[in-house]
Amino acid sequence: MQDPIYLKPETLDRALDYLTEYPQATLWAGGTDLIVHLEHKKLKVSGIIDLTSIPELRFIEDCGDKVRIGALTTIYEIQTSPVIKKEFAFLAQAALVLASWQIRTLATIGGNIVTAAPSAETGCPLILLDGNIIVQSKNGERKIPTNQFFKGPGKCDLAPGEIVKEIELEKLPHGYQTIYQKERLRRSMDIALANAACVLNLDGDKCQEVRIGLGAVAPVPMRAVKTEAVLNGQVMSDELVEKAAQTAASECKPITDIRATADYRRDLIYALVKRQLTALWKAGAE
Amino acid sequence: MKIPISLTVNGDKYDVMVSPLSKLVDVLRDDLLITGPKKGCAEGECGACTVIMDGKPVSSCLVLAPQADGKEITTIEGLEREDGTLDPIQEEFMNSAAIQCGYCSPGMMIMSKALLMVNPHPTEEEVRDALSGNLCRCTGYQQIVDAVMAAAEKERGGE
Ligand SMILES: Cc1cc2nc3c(=O)[nH]c(=O)nc-3n(C[C@H](O)[C@H](O)[C@H](O)COP(=O)(O)OP(=O)(O)OC[C@H]3O[C@@H](n4cnc5c(N)ncnc54)[C@H](O)[C@@H]3O)c2cc1C
Repeated sequence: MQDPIYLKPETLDRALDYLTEYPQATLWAGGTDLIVHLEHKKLKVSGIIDLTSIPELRFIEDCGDKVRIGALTTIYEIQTSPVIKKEFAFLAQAALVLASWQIRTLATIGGNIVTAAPSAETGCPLILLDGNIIVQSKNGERKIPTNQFFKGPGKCDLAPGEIVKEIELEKLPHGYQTIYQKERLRRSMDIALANAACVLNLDGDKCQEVRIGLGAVAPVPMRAVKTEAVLNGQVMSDELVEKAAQTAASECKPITDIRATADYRRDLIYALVKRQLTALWKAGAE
Repeated sequence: MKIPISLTVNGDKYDVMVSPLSKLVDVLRDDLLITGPKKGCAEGECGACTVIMDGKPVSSCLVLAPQADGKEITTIEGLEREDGTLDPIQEEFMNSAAIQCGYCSPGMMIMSKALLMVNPHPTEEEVRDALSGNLCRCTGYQQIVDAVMAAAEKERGGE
């Protein structure tokens, strides 16, 4: 086998030049998905454009009403960032349960969203936040709302010649709480059987606004709109939470695969939604 | 086409020619003959190849060799102090009988080192979390966790 060409640009511009010159080359970030594909012989590499030496793509910046996250920011950096912990606690929680520490050091948020696994850890938090995935090509910049980026298992809204540059996220208004949880068979190194994220704003016991995201139970991380409709404007109660959890279990669209059956995944979603709503409701009432 | 990289491993600088798709674990083991890091699964699942790169733990099977250019790597061989005394982690792994076949041990000890570097006072839960990406198929994990707790205690005592 001929060795692929290896390119290590230090600016985004340079990376885009290389991508124009070698359109077949693979964009390489942490490599934690790519090497697995390579080992399973599901990937042929004719060229590598290593993005890990581009400092302008690796940052977390608090810009007042927004937070910007560079695509090459690692999952470990997200897990430990004071800004992320403060503004989007559930994104830090999701980062903390992605793979293992020795993978989180390498894995990037850009790689996580481009891989577009239905179970992707950062998927649910991102689709619940207002913001954009910003991609760059030789023709300029394109902003894709976070809830429109995922297109199917392994598919996202990224065209040839484009590189994910950053994720910009609007901060949540004061008083909004968030939570992320995942169900898996092992403590580490296991992708989710199901995961869920929730954003809740309460006024006393009244649900002013709720956003619920469900992962690994549809082709893309999905927004549970019917469940949200059950809750919005209502006074929280055990009965309401029960009804919401049942609605979530029925509106998700899981499949049976090697990890779990569709029915079991529905049961997990029921449990996750119930647990999350109860936790945020009780915390909010304190 | 092979490309030149230079990296520092356990304080020694090496210049090597590598294929772009070769992995750090293979360069360490096959080119530099530093065989502490073990190659278990080759896809990030088992933790046996864990090394510390620029102060942070990584699975060396998931790092392309060219990505290690200019980096500082610590393997189990580098835990021993210059005067030949062992790191408290190594001593406590022996004292607690945390080693049976030994295959996972270099990865376990390096991961423990990475933890104690950022968190010198871990709880047992934090130790279990940190080591949750390292598989052991012999001893079970209790002795390993005991060893790390004892090493942390010892390092604190020496402060
Ligand atoms: C053992 C193991 C356990 C895992 N567990 C989990 C888990 O629990 N949860 C989870 O969500 N994931 C898990 N993963 C998957 C993986 O670690 C994550 O998806 C990770 O975030 C991928 O990031 P990366 O930087 O390593 O991506 P890479 O492997 O470098 O790239 C992934 C894809 O994204 C593309 N890409 C990367 N960056 C860009 C960019 N800036 N612009 C355009 N394209 C880009 C690449 O070309 C490639 O197609 C696991 C992986 C392993 C090996």
